[in-house]
Amino acid sequence: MPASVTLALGERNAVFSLNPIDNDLLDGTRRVVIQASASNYATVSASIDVLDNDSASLVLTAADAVVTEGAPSPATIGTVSRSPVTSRAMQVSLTPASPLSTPFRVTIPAGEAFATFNINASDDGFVNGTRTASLTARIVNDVGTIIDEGAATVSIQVLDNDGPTLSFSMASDVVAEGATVSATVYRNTDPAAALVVSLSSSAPGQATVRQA
Amino acid sequence: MTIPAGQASASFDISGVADGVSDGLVQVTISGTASGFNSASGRINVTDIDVPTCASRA
Repeated sequence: MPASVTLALGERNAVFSLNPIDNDLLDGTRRVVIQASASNYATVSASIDVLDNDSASLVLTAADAVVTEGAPSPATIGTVSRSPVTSRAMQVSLTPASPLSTPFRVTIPAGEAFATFNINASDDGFVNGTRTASLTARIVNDVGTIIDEGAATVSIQVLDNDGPTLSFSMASDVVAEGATVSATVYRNTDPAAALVVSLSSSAPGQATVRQA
Repeated sequence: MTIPAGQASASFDISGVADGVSDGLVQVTISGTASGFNSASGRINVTDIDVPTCASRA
């Protein structure tokens, strides 16, 4: 827009043009404030939204459609590709669903079409069977905002590596003769039904167990 | 003991037995088993409250 306009003698207004600049950046919709000021007049302002005409999209793939909980790292390799390829690097935000884990962000280098990263599946210790976990990649635009436009998602099947297992925790690993220590027994399965657990002591003459 | 339906755990007590014998520190293994489950085990040390005593011979 022009730096100044002149209201001609006898005119109450003047018309000027606003020309948005095509910056070739992924910077989303930006609000621009236009101010007008003149000597002896109060300053006035108005705002206008400049829509971004630049866009990009991602494609996300995993080398394996199925991984196992607790598999050695990396459980599989992810690849995120972009279109179009530009001379600027692109940050991509990764959002894995449990039990998947990935880097928080990955960078597609300048002039490159894709980047790869490790995908792992943590061992949750529970018997919860095979399930599907999603991984979503979102563009971090040129002003650092994560945007949904152009996002991509891949689904990965996660195999359970856990079997039904009991475990203990004890309030202390020392108990005096005549004293009592509390302990808890845990199960890692669906707790829908009651479970009978047999407790025993290797030396009943030294320590005994009973339900609290 | 029973882990109730709807619960993932249950509490129990481990008690040291006052055996009246000066036997020092004794390590005891507590085990938990249930059908179809890998068992749990934990070690606890039972400390002695008895001290050696001397008796005079008449």
